[in-house]
Amino acid sequence: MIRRSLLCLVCGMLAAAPGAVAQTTGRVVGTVVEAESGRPLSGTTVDVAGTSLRTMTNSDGRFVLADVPAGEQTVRAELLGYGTVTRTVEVTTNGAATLEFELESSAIELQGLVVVGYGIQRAQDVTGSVASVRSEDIRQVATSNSIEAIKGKAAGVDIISNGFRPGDGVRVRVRGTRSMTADNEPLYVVDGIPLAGGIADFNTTEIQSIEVLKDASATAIYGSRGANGVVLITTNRGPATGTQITYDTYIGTQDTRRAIDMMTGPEFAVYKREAFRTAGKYKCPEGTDTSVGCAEGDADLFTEAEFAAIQAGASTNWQDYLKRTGAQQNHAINVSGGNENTRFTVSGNFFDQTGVTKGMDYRRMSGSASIDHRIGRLNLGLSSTVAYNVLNEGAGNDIWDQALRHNPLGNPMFEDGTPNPQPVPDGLLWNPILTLDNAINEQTRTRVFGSIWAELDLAPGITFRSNFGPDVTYRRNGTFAGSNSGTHRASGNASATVHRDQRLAYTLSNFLTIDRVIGGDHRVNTTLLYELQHADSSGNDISVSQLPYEHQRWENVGTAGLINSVDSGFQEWLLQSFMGRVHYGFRDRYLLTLTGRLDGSSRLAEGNKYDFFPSIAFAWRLSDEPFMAWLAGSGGPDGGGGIFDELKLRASYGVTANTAIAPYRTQGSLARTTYSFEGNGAFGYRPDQLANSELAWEKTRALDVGLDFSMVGGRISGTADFYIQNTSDLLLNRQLPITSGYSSVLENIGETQNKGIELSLSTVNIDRPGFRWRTDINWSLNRNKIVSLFGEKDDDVGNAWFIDEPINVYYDYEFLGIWQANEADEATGYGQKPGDIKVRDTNSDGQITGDDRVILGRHERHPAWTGSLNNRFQVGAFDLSVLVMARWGYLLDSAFHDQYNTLFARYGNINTNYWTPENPSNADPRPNADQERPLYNDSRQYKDGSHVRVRTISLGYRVPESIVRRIGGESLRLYATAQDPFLITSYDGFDPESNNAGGTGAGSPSYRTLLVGATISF
Amino acid sequence: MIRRMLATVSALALLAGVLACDLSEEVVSGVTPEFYERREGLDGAVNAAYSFLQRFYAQEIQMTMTELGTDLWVKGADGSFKHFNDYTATLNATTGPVEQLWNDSYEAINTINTVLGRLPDIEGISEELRTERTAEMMFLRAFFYFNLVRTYGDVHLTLEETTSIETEAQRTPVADIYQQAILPDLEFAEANLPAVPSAAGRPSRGAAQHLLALVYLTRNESGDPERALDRADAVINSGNYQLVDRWADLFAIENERNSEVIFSIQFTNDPLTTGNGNRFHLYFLMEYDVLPGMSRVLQYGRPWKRLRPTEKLIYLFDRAIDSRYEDGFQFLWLATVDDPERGISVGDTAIFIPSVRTSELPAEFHGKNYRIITEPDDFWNPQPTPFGSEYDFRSFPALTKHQDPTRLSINDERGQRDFVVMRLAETYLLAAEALVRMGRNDEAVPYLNAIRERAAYPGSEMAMHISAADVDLDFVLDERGRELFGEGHRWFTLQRTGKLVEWVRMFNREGAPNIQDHHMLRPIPQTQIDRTKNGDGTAFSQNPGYN
Repeated sequence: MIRRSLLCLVCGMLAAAPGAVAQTTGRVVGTVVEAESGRPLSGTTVDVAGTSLRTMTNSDGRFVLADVPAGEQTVRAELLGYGTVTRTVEVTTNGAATLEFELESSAIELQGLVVVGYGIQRAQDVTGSVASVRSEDIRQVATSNSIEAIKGKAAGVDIISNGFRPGDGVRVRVRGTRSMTADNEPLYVVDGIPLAGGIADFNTTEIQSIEVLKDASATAIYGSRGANGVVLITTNRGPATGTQITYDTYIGTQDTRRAIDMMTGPEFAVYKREAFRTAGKYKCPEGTDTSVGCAEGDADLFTEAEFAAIQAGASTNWQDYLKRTGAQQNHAINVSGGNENTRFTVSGNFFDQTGVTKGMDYRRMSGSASIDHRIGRLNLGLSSTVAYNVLNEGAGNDIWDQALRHNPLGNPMFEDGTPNPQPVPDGLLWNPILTLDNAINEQTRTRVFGSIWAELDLAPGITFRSNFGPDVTYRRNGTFAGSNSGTHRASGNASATVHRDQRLAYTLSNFLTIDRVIGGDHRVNTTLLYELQHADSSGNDISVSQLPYEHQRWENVGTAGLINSVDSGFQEWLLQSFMGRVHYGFRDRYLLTLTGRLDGSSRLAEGNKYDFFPSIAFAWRLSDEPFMAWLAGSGGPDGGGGIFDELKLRASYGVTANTAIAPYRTQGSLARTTYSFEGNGAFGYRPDQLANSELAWEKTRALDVGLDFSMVGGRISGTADFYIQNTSDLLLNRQLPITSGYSSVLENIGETQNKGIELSLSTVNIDRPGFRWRTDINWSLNRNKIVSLFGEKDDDVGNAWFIDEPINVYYDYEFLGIWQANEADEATGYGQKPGDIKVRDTNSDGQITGDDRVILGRHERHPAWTGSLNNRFQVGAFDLSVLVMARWGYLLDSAFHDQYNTLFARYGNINTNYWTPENPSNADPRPNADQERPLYNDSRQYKDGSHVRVRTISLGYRVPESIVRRIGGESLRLYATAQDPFLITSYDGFDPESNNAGGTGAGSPSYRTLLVGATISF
Repeated sequence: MIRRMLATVSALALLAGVLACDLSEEVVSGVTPEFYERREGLDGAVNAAYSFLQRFYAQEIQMTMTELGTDLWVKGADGSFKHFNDYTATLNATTGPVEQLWNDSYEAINTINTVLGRLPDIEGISEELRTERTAEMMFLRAFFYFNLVRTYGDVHLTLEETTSIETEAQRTPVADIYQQAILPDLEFAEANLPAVPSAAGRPSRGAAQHLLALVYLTRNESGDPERALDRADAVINSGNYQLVDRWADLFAIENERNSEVIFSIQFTNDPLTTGNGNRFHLYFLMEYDVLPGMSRVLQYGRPWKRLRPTEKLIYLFDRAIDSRYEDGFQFLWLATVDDPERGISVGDTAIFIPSVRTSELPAEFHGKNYRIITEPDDFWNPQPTPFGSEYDFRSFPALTKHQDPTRLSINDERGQRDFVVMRLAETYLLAAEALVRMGRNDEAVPYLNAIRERAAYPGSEMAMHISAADVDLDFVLDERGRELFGEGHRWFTLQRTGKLVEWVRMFNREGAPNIQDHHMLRPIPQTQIDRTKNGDGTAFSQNPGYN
């Protein structure tokens, strides 16, 4: 009694207490059934428009609404997964009106529903920050990787390619980088199962929607794994009636975007002369022009091969020998159907990409099936995906390094057309054409992923669900380097390695959902969860050389003459969780979500294994407020014609964590060593990792304030979010002075902060019959900084960590130019001479020391902003979409510019404007044959990576039904797409994203794709 | 319904309770530091301490830090570390070898400290073994500290296992490191190591004494030459070592464990235990494989041409009587492929270095179909010649001492020879050096003659003898050059005798313009300076001149 009156009090305060005036009332009773099957639907919400009257159907689908005011009333029945049905009924005083509702099941995306962790919510009920991407947007991009398909489509989600080899993955950062050491990748959850492996095995055509949970409230239900954001993937489910067959295909070609401007043969000759002149080894009379040279000097300087090429004016562009026209194709067939009790889907997919670099290709075959069946109150289901991937990296990115570093004066082919193994007599320059044919790096991966579930309706609105999700991956990676590869250089030796591993993981979730409407105004949805996740992985490796015959590749290593190494390993982890969540909604206007999760991880130290992660979120749907009625649109309570259809303010705060450290890191470890005495092996163990028995969670406390709106009849809608995330107890791989015997240790120290703004705007610019134009804009910025380290407010120069600066910075000398002849005296003071690289003497102490390093620009991981613009046009049967994205305001650490611009006269070099006494360039230093790398060469490798990329331009045509019918189909769409057709950037490597992983060299070239496709359904 | 809910919740809780798992983790595939408490763990840690020797010795960083930039060797055509020869600004705190030696040494020292700290508590081993292992570890610790102080000067001193996070480090004066670590460790080793170790590669009492002699000569305080002589004599007179009869036999590939070896770093042809292998075979070879009639073959090696002999080295020998010039270098290459254009068939002479200056080449060699490489008339300005070329950064006599035709394949960088760090001939030279330091030059003569006599061509033994009048410190150093060239000692030899700057200026024209007094020490790695955080606010300072 007391409780009820308290609730009444709250109600009274929050609203103008409708129903307080006594009047004549009657009852509405009835049932709700599924239209297709006639099966009763329990848990359906039934309410009376304009009142707070609301109830829920029982297990027989029956409902009773009492105290309904007499007169004509609009009654609405609503259930997730079904279209809402509204009926009018005449209620008489003390009478009982009867209503029968038949609800039709509908695809989730059509309904304004959003998948959240462990459930589905109406978009209007969501209190957290969730970015949702629909399947049509996912399919806009032709890619093997589903996550790459949402690149640029979700604000605050920064997706960058790891490279451009077929099968290369992406790096995903949700709202910036938090952790310095632990993984920053989000958690992927497919159909409710958190993945232990990557997301690459799920085909885009199988995906119905992708939701990215960004704020602490949305991710807190994933507790210790939620700090980096959570990506929820929902795969297709069959319809409840009939059978539908869809075939989806495209095929296209790919070609490289650009070649690197390397020195040609004649340019190389001039530069080599200059480099040796600098070193005092080019024997020509004083004043000889190096662009012409002198005969006696050239004879001594150039090898026979080079000399012949100079005479002939020959030049080899080695890049030409690696490129080819690539191809990409995809075939997906999907059969789905069902009846009142059983639904199923079966799909098969084939993806094939032939890379633009010879020797690289990627293929994936996958199949998936799902079935669910209802027996009374029990619902059972199974879905599973089996994928088999073959990735051949050929000679890897390294082949491009071999080509770029090669001497353009070398002649790649003998007269008989066979490759010349050593075009120039240099031990390190082997003909990359031969390496292409003699190096293999093939990875195969077999993945079996499943979800088996049972759901029991215990009572109306009360459901118990048990989910078991196994995830099994087998991998094999074989590499082979033939005798004629660059590794062995015709030494008669061939070597191979083979690596196999398997990962067995499973997730078991049991959860109870209680959905109640109390007293009409109060809607309470409670979820209680127990979850267990376990993964173990083991693998073995062998490396051999002196293979007796080469066609075996790595498949008979027992025949090898020599075993270089043998290895195996095992690790496992376990995560156990208890979670509770309550959504409370008052009159659908005031929404509150409380979440608490208790997580225990095996990876952490004894005593620190368990922790609790709470969160709270509040949303206020202003558009439903009576006082906003004058602003509210047709969706408002009075149905008036205002501005806003929907206006919702959100605020959330919560704690999440990051457990992404390798197992066993708390225990300290030893590393194996090798030695021998008189030829007898003497294996040993040296200290390797310092034990830290206090490792604990890295925690993120996040505050998010957001606004969702929709106006002018849905013509303009959008979301704006502002957030602050403070991450503390950082898992820091802290660099130590090596005098202790350890170079680093993992610790929980320090604090970082991410602050950001995210804006999404969707507009329907034109909406006329036969012409529709929609625009989606996403824009976000994130500012990252280190708040504290090691207790005091102290920078850590050794790690390049600085208070109030981002986690990643480029800390190096500032390139000023080249010392010029008239600055010779000043240069001498720095131990340098004209033609050398000049860097800033920051502290003006007359010498360049470590103290002169400064923070240069923005790091690649922290761009000033990112954004995208997606325009879709529909004109009659034609549709056109253009997606443009930008990542702006950051520097790249271009290892490529360091490696191919050493001006050492031994390797191929970028065609630069280098300094010579006759050409006082200020761009690049003087070539020097005595100097493998110029002093301060690093200072020149920070390049602006800002770019605008036209991601896709796609033109589609929907074939008229009359024609499609004639061939027995239901619908047919034909389309042509140009993918990555344009890139606007000042960066002159292959691509600003070709090498973001911080690898060495140039990476592999990026490419553009032209493809045609068709989607047909029967 | 409430009851049903309660029932469900309790069932769920029960299920959770049943499933609630033990979250403790057990390391299966690795080992944790507890392993050291066991007997096998002890052996493992001892072996691990030795493994660090393979990271410096017989590797490119040793070649770079001990032979490049001396009076005997200068840079060849290739290599990343030419600044160690030229003493230019790129020889700074961020150059790789400087950081690597530092890091490896301290990892080694922590490993050794771990063994020494835990040895007293290991159960199930005999006291003899405990003492012997203690002595071995102390020998190695002194060895690593000695390399640190002579490379960097004042360094951090620690004699305890690191068990917690250390972010502080201090520069302890060199004298204290000798006093607190190197000398007591070596004295213990000298007293407790066996005269003959259980296996090649473990130190003996003689190794401790030889090292002590070198340490005293390096420290060079009052009384140190006497102490050095005392230890050197102890080794020479121990009867455990004999000079090999023929100098050339010392370097025969099958003779790597000869009677003269006092301490060596172990390598094998088993890739599982040899680490990076002995790589010295790579560095001292000239680029024969691109010349007419030649291809790269196992017998002649893989020429990395990192180092070439200086004018001083090639004229250091009395070639008529001293076998060490001819036996120490390769002058002749026979064709390995046919070159019809020049009329060369496999097995014919393809390259010949006749050991004369260009202007003195006898007429009989003019117009040969093979390539002739002559000594430059102006060594630092070699010129093309009508017969081939002069010694230059690609062409020069190739050092034979480290050649390894037993490698697994032609391009395999891992040589299998043991790398000899201490041999008896050097002990004689240390004794001679000690005597010269004391002004007893006449007493040094028999030590020097023992070495010189052995190096003589048969019949020239007496001609190789020298007298007291010939002996001074420079002579001893030159004799060291003749005996030990290319064996990884030279830079330290010049440094400890104070000749480095003077002799580089005199004999190494590439380093001469740049070398300064501060180059007597190497720079402290920038990473060490950057990472040190001392509570009292002091920094880990850089050596003077490297700022």
